[in-house]
Amino acid sequence: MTIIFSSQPFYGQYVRGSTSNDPISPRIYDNSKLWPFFQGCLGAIDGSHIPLSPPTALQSLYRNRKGFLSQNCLFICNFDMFFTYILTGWEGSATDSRVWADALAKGFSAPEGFYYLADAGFPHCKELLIPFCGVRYHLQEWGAAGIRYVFCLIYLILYI
Amino acid sequence: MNAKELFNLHHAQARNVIERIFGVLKQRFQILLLPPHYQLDFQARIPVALCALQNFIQEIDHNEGAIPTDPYQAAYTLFPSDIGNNDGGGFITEDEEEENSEVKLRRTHIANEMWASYLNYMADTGTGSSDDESSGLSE
Repeated sequence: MTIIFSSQPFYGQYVRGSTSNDPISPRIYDNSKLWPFFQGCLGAIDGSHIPLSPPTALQSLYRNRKGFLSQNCLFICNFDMFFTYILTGWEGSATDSRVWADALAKGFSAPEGFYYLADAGFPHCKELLIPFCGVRYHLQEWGAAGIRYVFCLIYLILYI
Repeated sequence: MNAKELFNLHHAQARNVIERIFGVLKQRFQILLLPPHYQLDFQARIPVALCALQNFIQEIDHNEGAIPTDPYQAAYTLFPSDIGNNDGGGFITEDEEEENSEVKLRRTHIANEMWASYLNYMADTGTGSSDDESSGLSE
């Protein structure tokens, strides 16, 4: 089943790359804070560690910074919550920017003038929009979620 | 509060979608939580297959992916204005960016547009002039 789902025609039919003709998601369009500033934005990109059991000889390569054995997978999704690109199989020790470089080398590209939202672990390039480094989030606007964000901030500071 | 912070906040809000989709994927397919004992290349195909399957489910059953409304989405929460009490009205100036590559200029442009719209909003609702409600968190 895994083979069937991860190969053509099923995979090609349900995992489609974003194009410049795609309608803009209501999640962006209906939000006055995001529209029209993010009108060139097709979705978001992030890496995720998926547990893996490699042969003993390769274990050190696959051990990630969190301490478990994993593969680093790169996912891109659009704002309607559909995956549009997936790259798996990278060692857990590889960083997000390394996996991204490999995706570019394998021919991934965004339509001209469009980009994806990425976090600060990704490099600056024309396909990605990175947040400003070293700038705090504005905590007040998060209201009740503010306290949680303080913890996130502390976590981020320790982690970077 | 300045243009960079506002940009980062809205950027994080929009990027939230990918964190949520990871949550849905890992909740639905718990094989992703524990290492399966297969060949390496087969293990690498499992997430790919499950993402395709997730898209399939999403396409067939729209209710599955219903997005809860964001309580902070409707309007800017009113907070005191420490707007522009530092760096030139909060806008990002050209010389602030150490390297004016095309990509960084695009980001600066978006951040400044957002900031201008935010200032307009604050001026319209008359909240721009209130002060002294500042929370300790922002310091």
